[in-house]
Amino acid sequence: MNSSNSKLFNEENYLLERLAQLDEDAFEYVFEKYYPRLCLYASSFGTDQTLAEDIAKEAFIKIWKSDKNYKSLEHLKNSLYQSTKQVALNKQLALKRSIQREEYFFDNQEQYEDSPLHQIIHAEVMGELYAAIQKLPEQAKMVVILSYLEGKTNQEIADEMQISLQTVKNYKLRAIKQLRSILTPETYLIFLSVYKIFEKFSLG
Amino acid sequence: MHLNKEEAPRISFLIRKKINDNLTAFEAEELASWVSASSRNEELYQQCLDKGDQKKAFEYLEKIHVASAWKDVKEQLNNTERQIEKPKIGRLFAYIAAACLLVFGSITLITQWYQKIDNQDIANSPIDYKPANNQATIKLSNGKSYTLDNNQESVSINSTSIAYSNGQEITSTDDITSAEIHTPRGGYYKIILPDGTKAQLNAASSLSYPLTFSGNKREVSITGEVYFEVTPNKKQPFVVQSKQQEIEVLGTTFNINAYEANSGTKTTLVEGKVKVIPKTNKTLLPTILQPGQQSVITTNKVFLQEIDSKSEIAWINGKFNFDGKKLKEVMQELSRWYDIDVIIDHDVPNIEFFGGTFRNNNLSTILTLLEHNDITYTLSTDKKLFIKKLIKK
Repeated sequence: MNSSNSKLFNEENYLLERLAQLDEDAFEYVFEKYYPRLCLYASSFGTDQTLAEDIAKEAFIKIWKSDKNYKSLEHLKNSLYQSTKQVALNKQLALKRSIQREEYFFDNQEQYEDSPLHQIIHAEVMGELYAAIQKLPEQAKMVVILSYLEGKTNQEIADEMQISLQTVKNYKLRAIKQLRSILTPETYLIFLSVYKIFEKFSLG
Repeated sequence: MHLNKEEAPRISFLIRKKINDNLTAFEAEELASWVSASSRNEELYQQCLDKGDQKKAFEYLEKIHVASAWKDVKEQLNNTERQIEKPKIGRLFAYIAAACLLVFGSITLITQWYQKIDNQDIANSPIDYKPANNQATIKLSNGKSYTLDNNQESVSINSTSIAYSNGQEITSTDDITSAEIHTPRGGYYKIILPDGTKAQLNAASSLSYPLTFSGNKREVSITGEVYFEVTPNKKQPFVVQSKQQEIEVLGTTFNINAYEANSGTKTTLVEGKVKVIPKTNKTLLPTILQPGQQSVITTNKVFLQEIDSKSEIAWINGKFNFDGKKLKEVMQELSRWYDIDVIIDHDVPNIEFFGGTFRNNNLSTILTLLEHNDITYTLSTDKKLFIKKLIKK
């Protein structure tokens, strides 16, 4: 293992150690990192946003209360997904009992029963993409959203944001720099994706 | 098909690499074999690569307020801890205490009940509201937000930390690139920017800025009303963006009033020189202001007027200046400063005001101004101010 890898490894261990000691700041760090994508995951069980958020919150509280020690961040994340799924299924069951709409329940059940793992993969891909873009400065973020997600050309972006063509290009470059400076293993990958995105649209 | 625990991180890793167009031949093969293993896999793969789906997910994630969600969760973490810590011996006392509380509580309740009835009978119990105080929140580019201390009046930001003017640190700024400070209705705050520029936010306003001013200009953006004292730096002009205009300055003191409810954005120059560039209409030309001048930019016009800049920035010195302002404008100002909703009856004339008053007065003191103008008012307990025409008997 090279030195930079082992350094990151140590940081993860430190986080896990603090979590084991019920350090709320450490837990807040984990919450900020994973809460949005767990909401997205919870929403795949056919719930609206408010309910999805309640489910994710409850899942976090469950994890906090459980005395488990986590071997890795990946392990903890997996437990969060499992906990979210459990809470979501319990809520569905409660809903079924209270309103006795069995058809509705089974319809939804079919939809998710075969694919909790697929939904986790989906939440992971989207969660990481979102987190990486969120870390950009406001204007650069806007440029990335417009160019990549909305497929707009540099000229269209310049018109919409009322800035010059050159400024659009500058923001793209600045975004790349910014992403370079937040190199964690997860975000690095997304940095590469955004970088490729820029290349694709830089001619636009 | 082999669905196991390691599969989710591995496949999401590969799909993210695919989005990045950066798969090795070996990895591409691995992903392809997973994709072809089932139609559900194929479906998910296509879904993840679909721009429309990515956009939908992004919009969904953007609606989630992590900070407020954390507040909810944190509260519950503390609650459970307290329950666990409760000692057994203490329980008996707890029951006795609860019983006592119940008795006292009932007595208090009954007394209050009667008092309430009394109050309703009198109907004229004076309702009043206090003026604005130091209130603001800072939102950082890493998603964290902080509520600033009411007992402090200014906050300073630099590339290492955000701290109150007395040196007390709020947070370090290692991984932070930009910040947004926001005052609510009924709040105001002072900020010292990384270059030493001072900014003062009036109620219901905001200011966002990068933590280091790199490049050839220092750019910030605002909403509401902000007063600036810009540190001179000819090599790096200071630029203020707002909805209707852009302002370019070298080193100077000026006030921008860009409340959306107002008609137009007002820029008042106290000293120095500024260039005001309208954004509302492309045919409008940039204007250079001299000290004592005010520009007003609306959707299709630029006005320039000579003005007593001291009265325009009276708010900086703790005063309201109502001179020449109409009732509606004055009420908007009061609404922001006292955090109240104002409801004006249709038949109330939009009278013009003269003079001003101090901003640290309670609301009722200021409202006495109205009584000389055949206008009457009522204040409700839910922060509403009703303005009515005085009916003479």
